[in-house]
Amino acid sequence: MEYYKSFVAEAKELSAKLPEEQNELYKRYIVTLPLSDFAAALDTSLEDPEEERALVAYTERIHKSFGVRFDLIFGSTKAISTGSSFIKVIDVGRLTDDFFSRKMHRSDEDKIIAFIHACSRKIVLIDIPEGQKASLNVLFANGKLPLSAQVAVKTGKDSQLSLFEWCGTVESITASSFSGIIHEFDIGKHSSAEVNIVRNEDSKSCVSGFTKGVVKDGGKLLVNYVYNGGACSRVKNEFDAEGYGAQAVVTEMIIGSAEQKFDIGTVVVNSSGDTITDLESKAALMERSMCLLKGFADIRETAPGAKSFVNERGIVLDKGAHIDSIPGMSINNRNVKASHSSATAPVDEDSLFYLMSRGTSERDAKELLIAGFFAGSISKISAPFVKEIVSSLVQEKIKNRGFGIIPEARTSNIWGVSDSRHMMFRENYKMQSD
Amino acid sequence: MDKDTVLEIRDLHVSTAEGKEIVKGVNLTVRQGEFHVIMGPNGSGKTTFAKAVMGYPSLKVTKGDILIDGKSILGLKANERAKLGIFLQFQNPVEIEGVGFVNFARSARESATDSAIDMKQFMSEIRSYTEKLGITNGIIGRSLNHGFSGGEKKKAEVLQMALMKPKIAMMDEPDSGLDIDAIKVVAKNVNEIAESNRTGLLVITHYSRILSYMKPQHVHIMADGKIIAEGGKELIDKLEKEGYDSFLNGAE
Repeated sequence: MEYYKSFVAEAKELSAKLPEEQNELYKRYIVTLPLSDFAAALDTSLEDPEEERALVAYTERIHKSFGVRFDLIFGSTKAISTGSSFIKVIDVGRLTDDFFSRKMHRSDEDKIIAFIHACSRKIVLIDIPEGQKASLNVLFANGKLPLSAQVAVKTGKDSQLSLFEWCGTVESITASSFSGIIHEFDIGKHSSAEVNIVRNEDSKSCVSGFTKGVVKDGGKLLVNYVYNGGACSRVKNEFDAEGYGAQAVVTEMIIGSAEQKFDIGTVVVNSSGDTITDLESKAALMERSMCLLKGFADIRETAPGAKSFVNERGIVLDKGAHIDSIPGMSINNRNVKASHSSATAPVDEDSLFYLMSRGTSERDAKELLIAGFFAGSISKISAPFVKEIVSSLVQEKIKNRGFGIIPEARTSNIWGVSDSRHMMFRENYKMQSD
Repeated sequence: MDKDTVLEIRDLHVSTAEGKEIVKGVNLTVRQGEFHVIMGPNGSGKTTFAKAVMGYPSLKVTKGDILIDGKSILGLKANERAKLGIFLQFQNPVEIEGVGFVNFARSARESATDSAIDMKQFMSEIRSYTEKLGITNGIIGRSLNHGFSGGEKKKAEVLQMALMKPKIAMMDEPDSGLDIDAIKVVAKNVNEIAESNRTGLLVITHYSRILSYMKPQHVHIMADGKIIAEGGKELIDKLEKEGYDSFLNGAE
């Protein structure tokens, strides 16, 4: 563990030296993840005998609230699946000094990525073969032990994938915990993937996410992120419309309260001709929360006819909340259509007055306005049950400023499987052997 | 105060947040079912007056009082005033993307009445008014005022008035942006809604055009934040012939 400790210290120090953070503007706007806090969690309990029970209980709570059944439940050390043929979980071994030294060299681009690589015990592979369709739900949950997950998603030619990921925290943890997920998307020719990722970890969690997505000729990747939970979140994503006519459409919704901090940096790249990239980021912040939005479009010289849009919008509901949005573009071909915009403001006084003049209370009016603010983004989600989950989370956050599982969510008929909700857990899931 | 008095304005002075006085001592009483008109040139303070009565937060009442059913409402927020039965039809209704018209109307009705509504009956009520107002059902399914034409916005405001059934309805330029056919439709519907609910009407307008299709009982001419002339419909005829100058010169 000595190696681990020095690694954590090094990661903390080097996290401020990432390539894009050499950018004079961006380097002023960084949320530093307190990685050193997690050494203690790993030191004291490398195994959590209660993890399986906690994962089961957590999944049942989500099932009860939202009616969602998961194809894979992925914890800090355990993975539980329904045996979907599209998902494989590869055990990459125990946490050892040797493991650290092997794994950390997989990526040195970002020390936090290296941290997640280093801590990963299992890797998730989602592979949709050519011409096939799949709809999958995956749960990731951290707890006493940190969650470090690597997810590789590959779609074959002409295939279709709808993937929903819920990322949460199994139980009320007393110490800080870490939840880090790396995604690699490889979207095949003329295939389409819609990925909805909800980050809803608890208030003691430090959240990190890294995504590298590549879309091949004629492929389409639609990614909708919801950042709702976590005390401190740092995310870095890159989506490359690599093949001719490829599309990468990314939507980010950030809802902050209390002292939450979000650092969301996303780059969309047009590498080939007639590609489309569209990045829309919306943040609504309350109390003393803060958010850094760093959306960047990179249109390469090799991308004639490309279209690229970066749009950042923020609403600040309370005086203590703060948003810095920094959209950027690098355009290296003359024959492109590109735009970027950014606007942050408090809740519009005239809109609030209008709604209140019809009898709506100030609180309800703000709730309506925020729901309206996110409505366009939520409408991009095709799965009705995900739409309902996201809407519930937004409403809960604005109404009660809390996050986590909504106990009283109205989710009947989401899946039409309400009768099976209370079936024994073991009948539905099987353990992935260690 | 007689028992039919709904809205009473006593020596109302209103200033902007920057301290500029816009309304400079207005007295006005509107009884149940009465029809009042406030006319005046641009910048005379008509809209500020209406917004102050509704409780616009950036406007400050520096003197005087606003009473509903004999009780001061100065300390109340806009939503609390709405619950007492005040309605303001906005001159330029804000566009609110993502908030569906029907959801909003339901929320408004439920807030105003403090009770859940029968959605089926409510939708039937909406359909009945949309037919009367000549509103295409398309706008009902859209976000609140979002992308509505000028005429659609005005009609949607009248629809809201119909659904809210207020005691006092202040209509701020209900005719602006409307073609002649639409003016007739709006006037007819406002008349009917007000009559059926015994709503006290306070129409604010520059022009007498819409008043040709309505029957106001009391006309008030406002200039520089004050009521400078009051009377019956004959004032509208005088205004048509002589313009505001005759009143302004008279006031001096």
